[in-house]
Amino acid sequence: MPDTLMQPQQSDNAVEVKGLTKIYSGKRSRPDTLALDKVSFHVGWGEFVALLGENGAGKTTAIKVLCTLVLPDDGEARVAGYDVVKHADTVRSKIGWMHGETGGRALYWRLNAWDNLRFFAYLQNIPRDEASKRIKALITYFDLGEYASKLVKDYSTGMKVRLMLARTFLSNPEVLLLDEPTIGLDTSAAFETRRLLKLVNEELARPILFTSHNMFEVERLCKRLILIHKGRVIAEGPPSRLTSELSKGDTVELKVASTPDALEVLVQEGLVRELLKTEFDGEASTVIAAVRDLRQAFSDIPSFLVQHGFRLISIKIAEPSLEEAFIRLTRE
Amino acid sequence: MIPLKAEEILATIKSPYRKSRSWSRQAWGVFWANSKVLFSYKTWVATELMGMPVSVAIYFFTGMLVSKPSLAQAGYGTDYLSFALIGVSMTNFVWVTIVRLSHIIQHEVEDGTLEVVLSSPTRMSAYLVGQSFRGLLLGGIFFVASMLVGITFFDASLRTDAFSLLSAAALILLTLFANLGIGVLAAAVILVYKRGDPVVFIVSALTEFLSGVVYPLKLLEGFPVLLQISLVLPYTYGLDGVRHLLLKGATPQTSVVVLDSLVLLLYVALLYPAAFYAFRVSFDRIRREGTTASY
Repeated sequence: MPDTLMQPQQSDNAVEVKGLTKIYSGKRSRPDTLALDKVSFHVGWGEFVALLGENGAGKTTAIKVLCTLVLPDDGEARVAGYDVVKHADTVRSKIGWMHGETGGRALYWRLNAWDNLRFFAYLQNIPRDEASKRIKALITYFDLGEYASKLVKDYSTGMKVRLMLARTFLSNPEVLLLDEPTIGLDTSAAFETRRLLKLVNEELARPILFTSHNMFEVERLCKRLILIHKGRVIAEGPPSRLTSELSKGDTVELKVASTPDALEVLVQEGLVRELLKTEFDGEASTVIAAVRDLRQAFSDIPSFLVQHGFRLISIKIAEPSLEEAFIRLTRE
Repeated sequence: MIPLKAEEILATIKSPYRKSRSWSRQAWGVFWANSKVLFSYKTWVATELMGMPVSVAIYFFTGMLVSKPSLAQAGYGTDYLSFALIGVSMTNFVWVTIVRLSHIIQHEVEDGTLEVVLSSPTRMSAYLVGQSFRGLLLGGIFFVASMLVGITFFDASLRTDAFSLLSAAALILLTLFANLGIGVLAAAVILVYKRGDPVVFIVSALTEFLSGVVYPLKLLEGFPVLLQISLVLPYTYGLDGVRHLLLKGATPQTSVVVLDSLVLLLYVALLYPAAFYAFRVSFDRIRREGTTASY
């Protein structure tokens, strides 16, 4: 039976991943790499979800499995209800994929912007007139009009990324899989891209799974995030829940009239577990510190600081930012 | 940025259109884009074209060293230049049909553009045929130009009546299709190994030297192993048939041309399914290895 005639399995989710495992075989004497270790997550229709993790955590592999470029070794992945292995052709017609990390390499550098998009329109079977209308609009939106007839090889990295974004939106895909879509963009372009992503998600109800190292971006855009570390999902939920859960009442914010280096003594003396974040304004240091026991911290730290000649300006319970939460979770 | 509002973009991209998976549209798109890429290298195209008269001239002067009786004995008449001209011009086709496709695939893997194609709803066969046709266009241009240079400036004596030319064109196309199968096979190998394709090396080298490009196969009678190898190459039959059509005035009904055509058809029937299967196997392998791009 032709792939396109296969009915999707009933699914409430745009993306569904269950027990996904991927091992890259090591060549010659190199060991195998476990890129994904029984990973499970989902993205609902209309959801905007971030897949977070450090470099090498398995984010790109997960995205590439979803866009059928990598075959999993075990587990199951579905996009728009279609299995990415069994119904790969159908999945490809549903997705819009972009890999920003390539810095614009995945474009035809000997073609101009217009022809790059025209080529993709051919592959997507978009009728010629419709394609022209869309290409014109996208080139204008992504501010490539002035350079549309120049070869891509002469573009800056930001322009190439903008062109890749334009290509992703060209066919108005049902599910967007965006791997670092704003990497290399200047502030203004990143802002407009986020705006468009938000609008596509909210107005067109397009589900978006995206990866980013920019926590500001993640907090602004995503209702839910999935944190992946060494091929495993280690946390999942709304950003606010993640940060509040992480605080667990064991994080304090100290303001001390001292340099940050001098406050390392708090770790050495076992009064705090870890200094998560330090800032120095020239006169005082503001420190976010993880402690073992909050009650004890509030009695021990002030007395220790006073005894050792530090001037404590303030101490309060702190809730970590998403960035701090990310760092803590991946370190733990 | 932002001469257009995000809302306006949204209105444009959400307008519905009839989605149909058109094989020919995709193949044309691949051919169109890659031809544009090719012709963007203007200096390369110019130097290739300039090199053509030089290559024809070399065979014109080499022909003075070849004795006419020995050529006549092989059954291709007495004009060495015309004999070699057909061989050399068609060899360019071999290059483009066998080698070009795997070179393109290699570049696409390195540039990351193959991933974009593979993650789109493009049919594999449309992609491969579109890519191959770019090579055919290039080979076709060089073939016609070489012939014109030979006939116009070096007085090559070829049959130029419409029937002979059309018959030759049909046989050349058949030869190319047979070789394209090998090209797809070579592309399947390069997909996995990325560089140093043994299929390309072996087949193109053997084809160039053993299929009778610049000397008649009769000369190989003293080297039975080499002669056997030459008889395995599809190009040998294409070259033989085209020479009979353009040098000796044979027709498509002439027994030798019929035999050459049948052998080529057999190659097409055998090689195509095998080559496309091999490409599919290679594609699955690079998906398992996660090497659809190597940037």
